[in-house]
Amino acid sequence: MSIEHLMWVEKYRPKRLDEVVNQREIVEGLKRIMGSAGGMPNMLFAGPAGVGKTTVALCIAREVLGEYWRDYTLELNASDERGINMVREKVKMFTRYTSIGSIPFKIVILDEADEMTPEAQTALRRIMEDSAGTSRFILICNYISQIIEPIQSRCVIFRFKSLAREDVVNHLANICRREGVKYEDKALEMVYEFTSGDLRHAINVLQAAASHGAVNDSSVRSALGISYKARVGEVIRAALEGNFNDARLKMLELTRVYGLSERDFIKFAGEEIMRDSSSAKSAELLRVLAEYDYRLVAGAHPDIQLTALLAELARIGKAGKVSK
Amino acid sequence: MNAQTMWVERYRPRSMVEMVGNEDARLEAYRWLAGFRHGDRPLLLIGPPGTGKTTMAKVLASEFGYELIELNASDERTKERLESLLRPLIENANIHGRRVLLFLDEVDGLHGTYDRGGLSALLSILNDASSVPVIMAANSDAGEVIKELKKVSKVVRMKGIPPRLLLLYLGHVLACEGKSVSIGDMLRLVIGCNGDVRSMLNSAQSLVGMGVHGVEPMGYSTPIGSAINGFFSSASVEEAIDALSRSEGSYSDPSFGYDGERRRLDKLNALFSSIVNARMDVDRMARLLGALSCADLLIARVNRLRAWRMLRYIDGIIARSIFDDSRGLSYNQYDLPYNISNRIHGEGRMLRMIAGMLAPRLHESRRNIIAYYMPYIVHLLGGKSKGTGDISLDDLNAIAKGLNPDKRDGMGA
Repeated sequence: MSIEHLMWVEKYRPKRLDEVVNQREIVEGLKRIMGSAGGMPNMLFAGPAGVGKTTVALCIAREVLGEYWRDYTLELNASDERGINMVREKVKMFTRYTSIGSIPFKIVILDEADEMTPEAQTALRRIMEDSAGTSRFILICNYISQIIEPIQSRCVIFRFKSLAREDVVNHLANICRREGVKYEDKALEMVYEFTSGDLRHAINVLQAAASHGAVNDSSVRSALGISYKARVGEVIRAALEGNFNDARLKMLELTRVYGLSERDFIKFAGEEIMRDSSSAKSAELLRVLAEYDYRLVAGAHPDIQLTALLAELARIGKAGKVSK
Repeated sequence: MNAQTMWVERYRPRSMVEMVGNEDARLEAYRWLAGFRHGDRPLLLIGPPGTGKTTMAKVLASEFGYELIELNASDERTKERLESLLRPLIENANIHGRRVLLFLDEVDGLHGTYDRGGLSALLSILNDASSVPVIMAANSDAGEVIKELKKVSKVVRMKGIPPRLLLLYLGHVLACEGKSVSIGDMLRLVIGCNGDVRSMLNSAQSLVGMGVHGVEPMGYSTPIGSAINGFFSSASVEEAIDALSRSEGSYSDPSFGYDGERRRLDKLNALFSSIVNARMDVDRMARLLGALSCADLLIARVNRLRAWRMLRYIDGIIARSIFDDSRGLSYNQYDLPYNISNRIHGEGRMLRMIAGMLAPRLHESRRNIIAYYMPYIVHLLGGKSKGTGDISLDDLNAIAKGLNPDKRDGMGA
């Protein structure tokens, strides 16, 4: 079985705009704009992770380009190739020539565009203009403020909202029914809580839980346990208990062996601290975390920054124990 | 530090014979001004920074009794400005008995936009016969401006000063200052400045100013291990800074990834790996790592701004902030425990490869594949690994094989 059929995220990814979960306003706006005289403009999708931005972009490509959409769609992820060369080479090559056949234009889907350097964005802006005759762009980002103004002003901007709890839970229940897997509503709620509105992550957790036979309290707990977010939580707890060395080894396993990016490590750490700690202490911990999040982005040696964070948490944890 | 205390100003040559290097160019320029007559072409000095172009203009003016009027890139040089400033000078220079020499520094910096019309105004002024000698200086041949100016000027080229002369000159300046640095430092200064006297003197002054005195002759640098050990065992902060600054390592920029060789030569990493593997209480560890974390911020800022001269502060900052807590530690080049580095090359490599294969097929970045898919995929596909969350190498091999690209039949079908 191919990975596309194996992974429920892919198997149940909507193929048509009408099937997209709860982005009704966006879908209607899109349909209006694409049906209008001017046709499809360049677009910028902004919004949190796992709410359907990439899915909507793929649906558009399929609806506009028809059966052979894959041949006329360039999908890039700026998080993997952030530099100016990516834009220059791949995008320029792809958009250079008009396509043969009945399609109106080619489509470039550039995911995580906010990861691009400003220089690469400036280059992209030129290419968007030069290739107006051959191509349309769909740029996808989490934070619109990281996209340079000239690009924003050349795109129609769609702001995707977080998914409502019942939409996520209903969707998960729906998948369970289609897969013939027994589920408990409470267990689905747990998945939602843990994945904070990220439907993609929720479906992956659901599938891991379902592999135990049914989606219930214990199978969901076991699925959550293998998530990297939970394992980051273990690292933070070890540090707060003063076990600096233990925490560091676990952190190295996650970041260096499993390849979890330092930024995702800090992000998960923040989510775990918010969920876990008593309010007074968690304010101090979040301040420390925010400081090191900044240093990670602004600094040069990520290993040093993450390790210094753990040492700082260990110091705070130890001081807390003494004062009790 | 005012201008008088800057060595480059204090030791700026007062006459032609005090200058270093470029003997032919000096002679040519000397002859040009000595024989200067009404209507002669201006002199264009072309040469890299710090080879004596500005000095030459100043020295010539003073030796021949001219008043030097200087215009450089910091002045606005639009057509209007050049006309109103230069015309009266050029046309009336001798009326009041003043003998004026006009020096236009950094003419290659004439800016197309901000100095609008500046070039054509300059060319027209230069083309009018005048009894005012004009010297222009530029760093390189490149660019439209220089091409035009070369046509109307006498060109004299200045070259970088050879190391042999720089070394003599540096020795002379140090002797005058009553300072000494090690022969290793002297050689490093001479070779590091690329023939630029000004940069050599500035570096030498900051080296001496930071309290670093070379005592015995030594080679270029100490191997990083002994430098770090020297740092940990120094009796004073000054000695510790000295040890760090002698290291063959540097503060490199790892953000674009670097190989093992360069990693070992990264000074901050060397301090980090030594500290993090030492046994100590968490308070001390937190203080030490906190200081390295701050130093890392500074290094990143230097890298980002390409402000390499700022690097000279970092040895001092690190040494002062970790001196007390780091006494008695010793160098350790391995920042990773053996089993982790082993697993990075085993499972880690496989996982990165798998993430790379999955990313385009699941419409995700590699980074997101790892954070939001990988543990579940391993759980679903893993045999022995199933349910534990840990990953066996056999399972990874099987998964990678299963991801044969030929099997692609995804959602488009």
